[in-house]
Amino acid sequence: MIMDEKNSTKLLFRVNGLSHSFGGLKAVSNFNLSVDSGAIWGILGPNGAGKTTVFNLITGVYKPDEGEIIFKNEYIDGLPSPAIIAQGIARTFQNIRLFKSMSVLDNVRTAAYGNLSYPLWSAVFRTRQYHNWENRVRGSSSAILEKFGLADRMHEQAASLPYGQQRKIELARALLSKPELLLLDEPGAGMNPAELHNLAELILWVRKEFGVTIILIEHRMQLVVKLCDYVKVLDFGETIFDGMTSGLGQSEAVVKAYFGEDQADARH
Amino acid sequence: MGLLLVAGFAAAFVCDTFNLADQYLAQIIMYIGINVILTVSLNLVNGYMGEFSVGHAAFMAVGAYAASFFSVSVFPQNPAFFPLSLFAGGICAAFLGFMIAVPAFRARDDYLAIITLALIMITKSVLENLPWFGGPQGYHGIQKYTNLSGVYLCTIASIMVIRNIVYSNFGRGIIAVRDDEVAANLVSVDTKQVKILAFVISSFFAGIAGGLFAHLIQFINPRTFSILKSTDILLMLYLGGSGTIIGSILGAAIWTVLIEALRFLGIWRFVFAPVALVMLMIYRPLGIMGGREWRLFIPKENDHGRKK
Repeated sequence: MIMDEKNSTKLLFRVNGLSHSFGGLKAVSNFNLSVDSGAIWGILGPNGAGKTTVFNLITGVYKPDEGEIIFKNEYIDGLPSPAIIAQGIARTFQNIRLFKSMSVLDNVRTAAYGNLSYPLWSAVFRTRQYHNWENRVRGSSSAILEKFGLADRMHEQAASLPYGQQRKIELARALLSKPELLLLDEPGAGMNPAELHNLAELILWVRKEFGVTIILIEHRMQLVVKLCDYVKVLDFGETIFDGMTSGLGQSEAVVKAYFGEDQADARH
Repeated sequence: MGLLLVAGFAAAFVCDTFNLADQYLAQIIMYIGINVILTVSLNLVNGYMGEFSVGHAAFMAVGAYAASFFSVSVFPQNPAFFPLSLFAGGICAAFLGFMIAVPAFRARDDYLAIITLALIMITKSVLENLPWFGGPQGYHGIQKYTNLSGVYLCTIASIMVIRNIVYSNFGRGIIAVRDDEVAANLVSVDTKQVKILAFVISSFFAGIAGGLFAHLIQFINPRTFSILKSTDILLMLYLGGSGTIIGSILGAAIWTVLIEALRFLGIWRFVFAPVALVMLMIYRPLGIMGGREWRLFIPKENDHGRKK
C-alpha cells in the first residue's frame, strides 16, 4: 500500500524515474511525480521540454525506456493504451483530436468502447442486450453533453463546431469513462486571455462536478498559477522545479528558464 | 420495408421455380448481387475503416474454391447442402483474413496495400500449383446451384449485417480508426481488435460471394481471381462512393450494367469504361453518392435528419 502518512490524503498516481529517448535525444529523463487524489497538478515548461512525451508515456503511446508508473497501487507501465484507459485514466490532446466525420454524440460515446458488454452477433441481430447497452451509453453520453451545454448540438458534425466547443467535446469524451485521473495536454493552446479565464473556470468546474484528479500541461504561467495546487517545471527533459505553486516565483532555475539569464541576475 | 424485402424474395423464388426470368437477364442480376456483396464488404475495410486493402480477390478465390470443394467432394450432390458449402467457403476466407490481418495491420496505408497485393499473388500461385483443384486448368464439375433467390438472400443478408455492424459500438470503433487511430486507442477503442474484426468480416463475405460466383459460372480457374478482379471491386467501391452502403450498391450495379451495356463496343468497352471512371473522379471525386447515406440504411435511432 502506498499511502502518504503525514496527512492521510490518498496517493492516486506515482511516476518513478521515468526516462525516454528518441534516438539520441533524451526527451524525458528521471521524471518523478506523486499525485494525491483531488489535486490539480501542472506540468510547466517551454516548448520541447518533454511535457507531451510524459503524457504519451503515461497513456502507453510510447513504452518508457526506464521507470515505473503506478496508478491506484498497480503498475501500468508497458500496458497497451486501451488497458490503461480502462484503469481510469483519460486524456485530451494538445491539438484537438476529435473524430471528424462523426457527430458530437458519436464522438463522446465512442469512448464507451472499453466498457462494451455485448458480443458482435448481438449487434448483428439487434438483440435486447444490444439495445439495452446502446440506450444506456446514449443516456450517459447525452447527460455529459448536457452538463457541458452541448445537448442541442449533439447531432451536428463535431468538426463543424467552433474551437471552444470542440475542446468541450474532447473533455466530455474523456470524462465519459468516469476516469479518476484526467490528463489535459495544453488545454489553453490557441486561446486568448479572456478565453483562458473561462477555461480555468471550466477546469475547476470539471474537478468539482466529476471528482477527478487533474494533471495539466501548459507552457504559460498564467493558467498554471491560477489553477494548480502543485507544479512541476521541466526544461529539456530535466525537472527544474517541483512543489507548491506558490513557491514558483522564488525558484531561480524557473525564472532563468522562463525569463532568461538577465532577469535572474537583475533580481539580485 | 420488411414487406418489400419479402416481396423481393418471393419474386426471386417464383422466377427460379418456374424459370420465368430470361436467362441472360437473370445472369446479370446475379452478377450485380455478387458484386454488391463484394463491394459492400470491401467498403467495411476501405471505406469505413479507411485502410487500403487490394486483397479482396484472394478472399473471393478462397471462398470460391473452398465452397466448390465442399459441394463437389464433401457433401452429397444436392442443392440442399449448398448453403452449408457456401458458409464453409466464407469461413475459410474469414480464416485466411484473420491469418493476414494479424501481421498486415502492423503496417498501414501503402504497406497494407502491398501486403494484400502479395496475398493475391500467393493465393493465385498456390491455387495454380495445388493438384487437387485442377491447377491452372481450373476447377471443373461444379453444379449450378446459384440462383436468383440464393443471391438475393445472401445480398440482403450481407447488407444488413454490415449495416448493423457499422451502426453499433463496433462500427464507431471502425470509423474512429479511420478518423484518428491514436485518439481512438486513447479513448479505450482496442484498435487492434477492431481492425482484425473488420478484416475478418469483410473477407467472410468476400468468400460467400466467391462461392456464389463459382456455382454460377460452374468453372473457376486461378486467373479469374487476379489483381484485375480486385481492381474491379475497388472501381465499384470508389465509383459509388466509399463509406456508404448505398454507394457500394449503386457502384456495383452501375459498373456491372455498364460493362454489359457496352458489350457492342467489343474490346473498346474496356477503354470507354475506365475513361468514364476518370471523368467521374475529376467531376465527382467522392463517387456518385459523395459520402451521403440513403436514409433507409440509417437506423431510426441514428437518424436525425438534416435539420439545422
